[in-house]
Amino acid sequence: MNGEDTRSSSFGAPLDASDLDSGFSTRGIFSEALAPTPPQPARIQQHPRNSSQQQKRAVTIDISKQGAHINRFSISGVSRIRSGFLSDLLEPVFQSRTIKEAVDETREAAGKLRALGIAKAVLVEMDRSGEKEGALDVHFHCQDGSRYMVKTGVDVGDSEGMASVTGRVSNIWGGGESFEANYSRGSKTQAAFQGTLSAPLDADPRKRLEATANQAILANRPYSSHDELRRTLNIAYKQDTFGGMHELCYSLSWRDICNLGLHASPSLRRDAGHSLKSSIAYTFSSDSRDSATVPTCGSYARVGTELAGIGGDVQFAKSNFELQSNQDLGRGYVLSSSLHGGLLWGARTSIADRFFLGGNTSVRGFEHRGIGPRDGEDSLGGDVFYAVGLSLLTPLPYVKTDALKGHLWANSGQCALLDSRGLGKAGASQGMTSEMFRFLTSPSASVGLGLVYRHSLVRVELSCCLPVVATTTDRPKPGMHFGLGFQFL
Amino acid sequence: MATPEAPLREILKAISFTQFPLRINRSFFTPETIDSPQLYIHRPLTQKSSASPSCDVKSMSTLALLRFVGFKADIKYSSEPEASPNNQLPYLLLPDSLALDARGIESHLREQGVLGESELADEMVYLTMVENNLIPVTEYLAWIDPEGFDSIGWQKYLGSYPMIVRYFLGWQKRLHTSRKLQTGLPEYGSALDGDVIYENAFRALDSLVVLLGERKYFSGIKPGVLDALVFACLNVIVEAPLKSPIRSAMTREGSKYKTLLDFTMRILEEYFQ
Repeated sequence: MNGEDTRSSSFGAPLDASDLDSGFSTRGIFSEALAPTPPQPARIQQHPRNSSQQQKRAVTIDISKQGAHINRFSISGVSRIRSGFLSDLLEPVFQSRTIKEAVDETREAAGKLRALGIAKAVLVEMDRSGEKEGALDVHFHCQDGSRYMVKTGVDVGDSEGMASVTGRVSNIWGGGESFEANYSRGSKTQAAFQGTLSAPLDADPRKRLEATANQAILANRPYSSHDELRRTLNIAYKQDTFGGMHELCYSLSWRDICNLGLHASPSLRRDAGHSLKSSIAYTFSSDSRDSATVPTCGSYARVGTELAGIGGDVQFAKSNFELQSNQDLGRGYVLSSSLHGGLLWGARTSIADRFFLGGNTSVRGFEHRGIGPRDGEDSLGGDVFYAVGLSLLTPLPYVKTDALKGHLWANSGQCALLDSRGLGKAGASQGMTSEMFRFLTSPSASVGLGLVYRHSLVRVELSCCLPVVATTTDRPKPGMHFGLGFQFL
Repeated sequence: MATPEAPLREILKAISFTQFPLRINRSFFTPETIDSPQLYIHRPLTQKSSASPSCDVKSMSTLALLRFVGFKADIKYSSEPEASPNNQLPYLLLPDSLALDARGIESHLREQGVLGESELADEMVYLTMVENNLIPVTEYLAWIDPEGFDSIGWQKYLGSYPMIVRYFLGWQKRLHTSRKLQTGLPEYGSALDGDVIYENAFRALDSLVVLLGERKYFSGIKPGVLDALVFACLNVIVEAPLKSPIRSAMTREGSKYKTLLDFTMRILEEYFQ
């Protein structure tokens, strides 16, 4: 260590997550040669400014081997921080035994403060301790994070337009806890309220415990003669690690299929009324795409499993997955392929739990929920489904922007019930096997071409849709279609 | 003279969207068919047998009316009113999937010609009297009276729901019924008084005793809408698993309401056994 150099320097290279970025300054430890260098390299070399100094002061410090420990920590600029939270946050910092560890852990801690909204910006100052030899003092200069936020917005997605107002209180008890309340009204969702209390675990923004309460009235009348009133309580543990986001959730949901009217089908009347679902669900998702709406490379995977029947009057096992892969073919061509599937297994499933297929963000060329079981005018949903999509994004002549592309696509999928009205109608296992084979080999399908526009928030599509194969209960919708959404097949 | 756009227009016309889809497969779904009308009436799914098919006035009244006119319908038991068009049982499901609520069923019977006009001139007045004075007794017994709520509302109407839903719906229903009864009859004042409800009911029973007299039915030779409604109300009150002042007064030895009790038993024997 060069003990003679007492000039300060700062650097702010990102950690593995941009959220954890923070300003950093050292005093009395390193020279300004640290400035452009992230903390990961083990060897740091000083570069004096002139040749005479170069001969005299060229020295190499291996900070991964230089012993040091944090002696004192102080923080300024934050109005609300809990001592217990600070202990958890700084535990790895105080456990560091080398300079490199101290720098890394200090940066990590500063980044967590930012990610949790406790501070807007953090400047880390590290100095040699005057009290002990080989010890460091650390000080965080923080800019206090904003505690209250209210925003209004208009969201468009999944064939629904929605206006919402959201209020948020951050860092409620000084440990990065937040409460968010949201009220929204949309074209399908008549009214929805949601309140979420979220708290980090171990002072880590990547591990969160969330409690959510929501109520929504879903107007399903355009495609099924009923409304659904849904009141849900969720407690979820979320952890962003091991290559993706893991979520373990307990959910208590009271559903009311109501307002059926005169012309609802008998199949829908069977599902009407109150039900209480008590379930445990696990979801894993991994996203390496460069864009969630119009990706040009990377892949996305999401797998979910839900087990209902721990109390309540609904019993089922449900599993579904979404896979997407994107290949950049060069010259502006991108090939995207998707595979979705799901299975709902229960003695008597409800429309509130089933899968639906068809629509601009699902299998294009069909009405929203236009594929699968239908009684009269009512789409009933299915217990089992699959959907496959293949899209080719192409550059357009005379168009310079990458945001607008040509689009050739082919979609197919099928959806069915497993009970005596669907694939189980043959009764005997042999009959079901043959129906299952037909189900897998006779999908409803459509092809088309059009334009895709990548907006900063949503994906906009204009497509000429040609349904090629359909079943007698499907609702094919050939013609020009306009689609808005986040996730498309 | 053809313009350069004309060929394109012709091509677009040729590729008419109506030609799609090119192939239609057999569906994977076969809906259950309804061959004959189905009448859904209220009955707890846990209840296996009982003297009367339902403890619900409107269900019993509609079932009685269908039996009076000889309308054939399959009886289905349900404890879920949300399945009906007006969120109230009973409802009639016709083979074309059209569902009719209680009023719709009456209109349907009149349209079919099986339910004629009543011989009773003031039938509407008496119907209103029964609706305003006897039906509130059954609602009071089921939802407001503490013992009645335990044995009727909680057990028979809400028994099929999970406990949390049961508590919430019970609270909701009690609140709604209390407000409805107070709104309908402002003499209750701020607190709902069971005695006022019973007094009104006794006055209505007195009128019905006079109206029935020595006749077999209120409507004349054949029973009609008023007979169905009075029968349903009295049957539910008498069959209720708790003692009410009306039940005691009707079943007492030498009761002045004996003709009404006989009327109820007569219909039960003739049309429900």
